[in-house]
Amino acid sequence: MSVLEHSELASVGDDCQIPRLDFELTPGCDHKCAHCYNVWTADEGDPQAGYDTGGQLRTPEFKAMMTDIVAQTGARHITITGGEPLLRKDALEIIEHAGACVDVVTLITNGSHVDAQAAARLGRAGVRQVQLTLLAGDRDDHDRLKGAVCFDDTIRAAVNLTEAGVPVQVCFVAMAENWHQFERVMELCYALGIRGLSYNRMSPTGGAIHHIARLMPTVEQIEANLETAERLGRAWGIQVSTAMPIPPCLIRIERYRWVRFGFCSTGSSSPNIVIDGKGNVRSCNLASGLMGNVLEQPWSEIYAGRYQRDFKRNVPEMCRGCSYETSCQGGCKESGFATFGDHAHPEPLLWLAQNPDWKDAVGETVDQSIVPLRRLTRPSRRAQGASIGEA
Amino acid sequence: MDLKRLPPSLLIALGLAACESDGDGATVGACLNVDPTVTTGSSSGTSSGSGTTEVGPCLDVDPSITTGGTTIGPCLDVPPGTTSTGADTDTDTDTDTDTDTDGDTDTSTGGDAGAGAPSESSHRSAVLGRLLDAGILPSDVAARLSGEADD
Repeated sequence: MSVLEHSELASVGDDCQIPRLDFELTPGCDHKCAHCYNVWTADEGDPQAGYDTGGQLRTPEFKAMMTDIVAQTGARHITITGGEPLLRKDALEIIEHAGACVDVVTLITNGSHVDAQAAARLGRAGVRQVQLTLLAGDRDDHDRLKGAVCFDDTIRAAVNLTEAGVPVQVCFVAMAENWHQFERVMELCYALGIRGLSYNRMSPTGGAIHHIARLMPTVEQIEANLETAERLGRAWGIQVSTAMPIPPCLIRIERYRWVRFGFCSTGSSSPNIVIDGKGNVRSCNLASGLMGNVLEQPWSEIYAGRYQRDFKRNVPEMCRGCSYETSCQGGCKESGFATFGDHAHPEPLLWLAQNPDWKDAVGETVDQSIVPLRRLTRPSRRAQGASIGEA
Repeated sequence: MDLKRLPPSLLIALGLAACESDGDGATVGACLNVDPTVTTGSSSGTSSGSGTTEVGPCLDVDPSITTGGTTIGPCLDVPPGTTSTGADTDTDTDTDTDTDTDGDTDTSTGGDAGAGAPSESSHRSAVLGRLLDAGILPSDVAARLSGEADD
């Protein structure tokens, strides 16, 4: 299907049935990634500031909410994410409950808490895929970018999961400081028998907008990575997909036929609806605007709200009239909002491509953090499989 | 009429836009650099065909995962050849275009193979062995995987 054909499907359905739901089990995380997209990491004064994470639901209430909203939406696929979802001690119980609710459950985790026991339990729960993040092919660079001592645990998690029969997908977030590591990450995947890779260029939301000058990759760096993905993915049988949108006006994506390109799904018939640990509904993981709350409103009312339709109509002026206006939509508009306070402002990747000098001057518009020298976080062993993996 | 709304091929046919050669005869429009007729998804057969899996969810899920009852799960074991979409059009920049024009199972990468390339398992074992020798993997994992590297 072409990008243009995709746009034909990209309209909110008449009924309120959707195929998938994401659940954020907890906003907490024991890694300190500067590129983290979680909206609650936004600083005071940022466009996305003020996301309330207090008062997370307890286990019975969370499971009841999941059961109810799955029934209302007709979703058959649940993705468990966070924060770091496995920091919740009831995480595996909730994941098992998700498996009882739908056909497909996938998990996104930082990999620091998947020991052999936890991996086996995920396997028994029928989890269809676990996504782990690898930012570099060596521990020093990976740990520096993650702000935590975690490379070995991530590798260990991949092996544990593979041995438990749970397919692993690696997520690589391409940034100015690690794009050159992409080939080494693909080599690691190949060696470990990992056959799925999600290539995501950095798309700053939350607190990540304060690291644009240092971390935002250039179009040329992304293009070089796609060349690598095409060459090695094809040779080694590693499926490569992109979830963060790459505007076709910046890169000729049709050149990379091995790579599956994704575009913003907000407002489409298969939106990436996210529900947090309080029942709040958002249009995607990067969005801070609330569509409603499933504990207070029926899904049909939330889904019929204006957010998705307004969002879809709200494209940058420079994209108006483009043949890809309704499919590409100008890339990641939530990133445009998070950075500039306006969904219709060209998002940073598009903006930097039009105004390369802006990277040097970005600090005048958005405060750019100076990364302090600090000790890397060492994720707690106590929170690992010994506590969560036991059935 | 907003000319930008017209397909590039039509603009070219009307003489309203310049043609640009892609090196292999394919042309693209002057203001849009994607051929609308080119698909962006692979034709691996792992999609349900409903169209929903082509919509890229933000950030986290392989679009190949579908929720329909008839499709397969994560695309982790799809042979390289199954997503072939025909002849490549990027011969100007590829480093291995001499052999990889149809999405076959060529395993040559970075010049460390070539004629008589090893089978995938032996090639993977060699890569794994190199990572083990370089100390990239944690020691306990290295011990667990060293048998695979010896295969």
